[in-house]
Formats: sequence, structure tokens, C-alpha cells
Amino acid sequence: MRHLFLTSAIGTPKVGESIRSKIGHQKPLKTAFITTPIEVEDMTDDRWYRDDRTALANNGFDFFDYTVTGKSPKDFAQDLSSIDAIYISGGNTNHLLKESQQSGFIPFIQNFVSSGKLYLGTSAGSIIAGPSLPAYLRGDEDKAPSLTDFACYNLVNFTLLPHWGSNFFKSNYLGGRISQIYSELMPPFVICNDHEYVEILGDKFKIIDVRHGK
Amino acid sequence: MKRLFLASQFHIVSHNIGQKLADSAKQNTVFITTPIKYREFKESELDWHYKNRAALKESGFVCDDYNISNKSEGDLKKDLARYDIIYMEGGNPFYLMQESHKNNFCQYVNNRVKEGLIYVSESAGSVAAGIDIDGNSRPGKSSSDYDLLNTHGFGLVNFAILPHWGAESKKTDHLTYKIPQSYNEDFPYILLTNNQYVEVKDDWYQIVDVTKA
Repeated sequence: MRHLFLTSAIGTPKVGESIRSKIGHQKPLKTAFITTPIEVEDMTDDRWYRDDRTALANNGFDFFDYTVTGKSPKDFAQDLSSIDAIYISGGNTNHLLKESQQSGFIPFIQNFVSSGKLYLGTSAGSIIAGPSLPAYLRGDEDKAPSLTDFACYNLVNFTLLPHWGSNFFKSNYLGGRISQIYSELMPPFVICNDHEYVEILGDKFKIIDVRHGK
Repeated sequence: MKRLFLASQFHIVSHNIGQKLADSAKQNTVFITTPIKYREFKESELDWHYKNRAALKESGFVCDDYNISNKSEGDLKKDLARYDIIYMEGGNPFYLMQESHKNNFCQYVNNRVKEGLIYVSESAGSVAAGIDIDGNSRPGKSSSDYDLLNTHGFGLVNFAILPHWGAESKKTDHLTYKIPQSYNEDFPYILLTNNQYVEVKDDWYQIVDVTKA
């Protein structure tokens, strides 16, 4: 059965622990850590990234770094055939989508998830699991490539809006992002703060707030 | 099993919801009118309400009207015991919660839904089902206008719905008031267009878009 965990930040205290308790794995899970979203990011302050990696390492995910950039379907079949889980990092969603399209990663990840293997995402890695790139990410950010196809992985039928309520993203969201997605033609939006994540099992989901333990 | 259907605009998604419910249950539906009792309406303002009533009928629901205002806890237990489905109309979630606090309807509906009463709703009824109602405040329809003990909803689900997402007539409400005041690290929110509803089975959710179903 399809099993996904879409977070704002897996490095937020208790999020990794909560996910571990849901999976209930006793042995480490061999995991590909997809670094593609950070390839165009300014990582001068990379504390969030280090927190995410620590959370994975501390919660039974035995990961290796991997990028989809420059890869082919043949590479994915060879490099990712024996893993239990894929974790997709936060970072630049546009760049991740462009490289996913160019490399043929999208059909690979769709089959990977359908086969029952785990998908975990943080921020960009959670947004891209939805049906399409939110309008506000389409070309309005510094490093956005000129995409013409905005279809994402379509693993879930909603788009996660991460980091809700954080001071860091306040001006982005209230300064224009939300008004750009104000349309009846949009997929549903599920809004989560950094303490919340979405667990998807099959076609259904639940929202967990780790501060409340449910 | 806990079962809910939380719509933004019921008459648009009613056919899809109706197909998921047994005829025997639909024939025992109570239509809670309280959310539209907060003021007098002109007939011309109630087009959406009459469309909901017609949609319920067309989808096989047989409804009795009921207003929870001025009822005691005993009245609620006696009057609502025989129903399999509760339909909570749109209108004003703040007035609905004010009236619900007076006779402990919050606890009553929680208990009944846990026991299997199916909760179907639109707009204010879906807002009230959520964890908190304050995010939906706007001038003229706000939690501060009513005598509320708190801004909790019924808590049947652990998120708050902002209904009518994308509707041109609600744009100012959303972008000027609802979104800025909801920008907090408090609860999960779901932005729901009039074509979408949330189906709940126990603690698991699914969002259905009837244009894609």
C-alpha cells in the first residue's frame, strides 16, 4: 500500500520520531536522500538541512546522498532498486521539477510509491508530491528555470503548503503567494506548520501535530 | 465508525456524497437550520439554501428540520435519537457555536458521531466541525460578535476548513481577513473550493474534487 510522509521540516523536534513510530521499523531503512533541491540554493545557513539529516539518521534511516540531475531511467533502475525509502529534501521546487522531468524520474517515483516503498518529503519534497506546481512558484523566484510543464509527481491529489505561520515565510505567503493561488481551478491545499505533517496510506491521509502527539 | 462529509457548497457535490450513503440512512436525516437563524433573510438571499434543500431531495435524503436553539440537553437526546444522518447547513458558524454552547450540543454531536451518526455539512457546518472557527472571522460575521466561551469547533476533525476558496464573491474575505488572521502555527488548514469536499472515516481523510471524480 502507498505510504508517504509529507512534512514541512523533518528536522523539527519530534517529527522524525513521530514518523519512526508510525512506520515501526526495527532495522534501519536503506534510504536515498535526494539532494537535487539544494543544488541551486544558497546554503550559507544550512542549519535546517543539517537538522533534517540528523533527524533521519537518528530515526533509523540509513541514507546515502543522490541527485536525479543528469541521471536516466536506467540509472534509477540500477541505483535505487534495492532501497526501502526515498527522502526528498527541501530547497528549490522548480529546479527539482525541471531535473525530475529531464531525467525521467517522475514515472520512476510513481512506480516506486505504487510498489509500497516509502516516500518522505520536506518542503519542496512535499510540494512536488502534489498534482502541480503552485502558481506562485512558477517563475517568480530567483533561480526558477523556465518550465513549461508544471505537472508534478501526482502522488497525492492535494498540494501541501509548508511552513505555515513561520516568520521566515510570512512575507512570501501574505505578500503575494496566497493571492496567486486564489482560484476555483486549484487542487485542494493542505496547510501545515513546521510541527505538523501529513501521513498518506493508500488514498487516505491524516494530519499529525507532534506537539499534541496526534 | 466515525463518518463525515464536509463540503464547501453542498448542492455542487451532493450527488457524489449521496451515492456513498445507504438509502435507509438517508431517509432518517435531520436538517439543522440553526446556522441560518442568526438573522432574517430576504427570499432573494437564500438561493443557495433552497438549492441545498433541492439537492438533498434529489439525492434521496428525507429530512426533518430542527433548530437546536432554546432546546435543553434532554430535548436534544429525545428529539435527535432516531436519526442516522445529521445535515448541518451553511450560514453563521459563530452563531451556531454560541447556540451549541448553551445546551452542550457540542458534546452531544461528538458522542453521536463517535457512535455512528453520519455528519454531512456545508460551509458554516463544515467550519463548525473543525478544530477552531476563528480563522473564518471577518467583519460582520466574527467570533467577537457572539457570546462564545472559546473559539473551538466541535472538534470532529483536527483541522480547520476555509470554505469557498477561489470564489470571486469571497475573495476579499479570504485575502484581507481570513488568510492573514489564520497565518499562525496553530492548526492545520484545508482550503476547499466549492467543487471539493472532505470525506472522513475515523481519523483518515480524503479530499474529493467532483470535477475529477
